[in-house]
Amino acid sequence: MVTAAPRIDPSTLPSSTRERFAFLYTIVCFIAIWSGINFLFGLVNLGIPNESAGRLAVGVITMATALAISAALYLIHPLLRARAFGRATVLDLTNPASDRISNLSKALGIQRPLVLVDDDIQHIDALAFGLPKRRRILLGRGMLLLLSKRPSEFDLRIAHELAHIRNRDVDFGYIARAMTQATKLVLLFCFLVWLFYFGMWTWRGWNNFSVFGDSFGTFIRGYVPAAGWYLGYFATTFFWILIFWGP
Amino acid sequence: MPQENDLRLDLARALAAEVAPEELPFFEELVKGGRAGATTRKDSELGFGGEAALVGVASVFLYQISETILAFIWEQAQALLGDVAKSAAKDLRKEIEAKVGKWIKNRFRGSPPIEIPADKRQALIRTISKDAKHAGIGEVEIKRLTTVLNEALVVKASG
Repeated sequence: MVTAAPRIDPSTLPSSTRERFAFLYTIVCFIAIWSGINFLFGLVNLGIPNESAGRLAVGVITMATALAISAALYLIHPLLRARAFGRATVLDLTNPASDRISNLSKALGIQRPLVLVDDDIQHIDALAFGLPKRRRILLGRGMLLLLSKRPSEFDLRIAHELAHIRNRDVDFGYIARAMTQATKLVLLFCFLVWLFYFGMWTWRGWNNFSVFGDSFGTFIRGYVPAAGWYLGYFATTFFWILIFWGP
Repeated sequence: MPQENDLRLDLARALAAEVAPEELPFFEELVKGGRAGATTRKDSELGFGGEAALVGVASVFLYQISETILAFIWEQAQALLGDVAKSAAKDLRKEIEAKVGKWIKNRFRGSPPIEIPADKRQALIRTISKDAKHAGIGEVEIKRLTTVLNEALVVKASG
């Protein structure tokens, strides 16, 4: 008796998305803690007598701040992504593409996302984004032309985007993107603090300026050696690369 | 010349209706956009990518060859206009223009505005076919285009 080979559903095959995400999450936390311990300790006086504990506390606060920024960036990503292709409008339900997308969503077992279309006929990219239960797909207007020219290619592109939604790549992808951006912000902040200290602080002789209380004195005592150790030429170059050339 | 541009656009639209009717709802936008697949947008994360662009879209190509076809028709008409007086040539040109407009409006039914020798017609169609292949137009569309041009540029027997 001949039995048919089992059909493979590519969307259920194992991928390393979650492992990569866990790796990224760990790196982001380490960078934030490291930055807090080495560059921000002294700027923030938590009143913890033990220096090691104080450093760690500042590191943890920096990490929490980086994660909070990441969460905020993820939550607002639908507002930014909706404009990723420029001006976009909701796809008319009477458009043949709408039915097609509904059928493909049903076939993949997901709720039909809201579909937006831009106004560039030359543009045939498609993009999935949105928060859970509020998923969206943004289409270049050229996708509608593609549907009339080569329907199977249209289906392929839409199925690709729907698979991102089904696999929750949209969440992982945009949280990862937000975490990268948050890390860049933390590093930029550290760099500006460094610039402020070496540029303005010593130039103006503000070392003796005590209007902000003792916290700046502590900052000087803690920060100068940290800056000396970690922010040499190589570290500065590394920062610039991460901030302006990073993902 | 705005009138010539209108004629060119009308001719391209009429050809699109025969060669790639599925593109008609997007015809104006495509022609206005200039070159198919010319988007300069950057690909997005979680997007599919637009690298394949709109290869095989015929409208823009049809708009481009419309100029060639009209120029070809005028060239043939020059032979007729060459020996007539200036004022008469102006009238004749207007008359041919009107005939071209009508010919396009009727979707190439009836004879072309002027009689075109078979060898010249074939040479034109060969050049257009070659350009179409070069532009990435599909075989089916090229076949339709050559058929339409072959039928459109032949003088039909009256009655």
